[in-house]
Amino acid sequence: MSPKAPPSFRWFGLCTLIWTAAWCGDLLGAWRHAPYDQAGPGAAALWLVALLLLRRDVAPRRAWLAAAWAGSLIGAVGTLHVAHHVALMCAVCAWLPWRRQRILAAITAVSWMPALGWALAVWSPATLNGVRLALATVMMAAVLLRRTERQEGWA
Amino acid sequence: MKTREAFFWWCGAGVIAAVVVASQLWPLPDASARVARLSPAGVWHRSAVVELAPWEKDFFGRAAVVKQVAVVRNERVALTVVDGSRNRQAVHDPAFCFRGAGWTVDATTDVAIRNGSARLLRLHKGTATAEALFWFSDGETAYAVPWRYWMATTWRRLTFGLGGAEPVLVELISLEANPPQWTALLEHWPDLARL
Repeated sequence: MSPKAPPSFRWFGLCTLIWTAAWCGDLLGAWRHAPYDQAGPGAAALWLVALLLLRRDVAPRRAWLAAAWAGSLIGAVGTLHVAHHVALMCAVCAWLPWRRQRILAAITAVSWMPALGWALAVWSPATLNGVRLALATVMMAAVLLRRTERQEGWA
Repeated sequence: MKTREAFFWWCGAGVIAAVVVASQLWPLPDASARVARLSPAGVWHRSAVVELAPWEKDFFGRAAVVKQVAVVRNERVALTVVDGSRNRQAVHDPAFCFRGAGWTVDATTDVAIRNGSARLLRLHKGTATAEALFWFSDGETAYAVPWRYWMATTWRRLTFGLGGAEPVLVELISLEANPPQWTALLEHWPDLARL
């Protein structure tokens, strides 16, 4: 569990999230036009269920925030979209309170990234979009399971 | 966590934001001098410039694009050269673009060319067939690996232009029912090797 943080650091984490998201406008175009990325919005919506784990009294993780800013720097100066997407993933993961959820979220984030479409373009768009939704569903299921455990006092 | 530590984080983010703004204002040398070496006619070839369609202008944005239909000996091909110095996002992996446009890539073969290697794609879409040959060139070396292009261009920008010349994408598409002999075609069009 993350330590408590002063409000200024939580604001910093929130600003990091907004900054990295603002650089990911290309996602909208890719999701709309690329046949390999059309399940991206659905996958992103499922993946973002992880935000249900957010707790107002928990500080964002420093290492993930640093990675988010490093990714953003590489993406913005190097004009590399995938670095922006990784930065956004890190900025979201920074807020997740449990290590296993952070790792799972980091892995399943590829479900909404156009890079997955490029890497697996030998598959048909329908197959690839199915893989995207399956990956994001794994993330959502893990998050909901964790929430249920916590509410029932198992955690 | 102390408030002072949070202050340092804010300062670090401010420095990164400043570097990002500076990078947007820093003009990098483009590849226009190399692209200008493309002559409209040579001993073995002649070419005609093709105007970009409105959607292509929209797509390429600030990237410099040369589009030609060329006849090399008796073989007709379409040439596209994209210099992404001003808009790197306009340069995509051609194999991915063809797939996205509904073509099926039946075979991929690496072809040796004068200063490196190119990649030959055999394509079909319904009953139509075509071949496309592409490579990236920084003026000295040619290669057909998209991630190498991305790494080269990213490194170049991160070093504010010190990381080498801007690679351009060179793409040739067959326009005849029988695809050309690519190696022989390139030998008769030496301008392309100098891009």
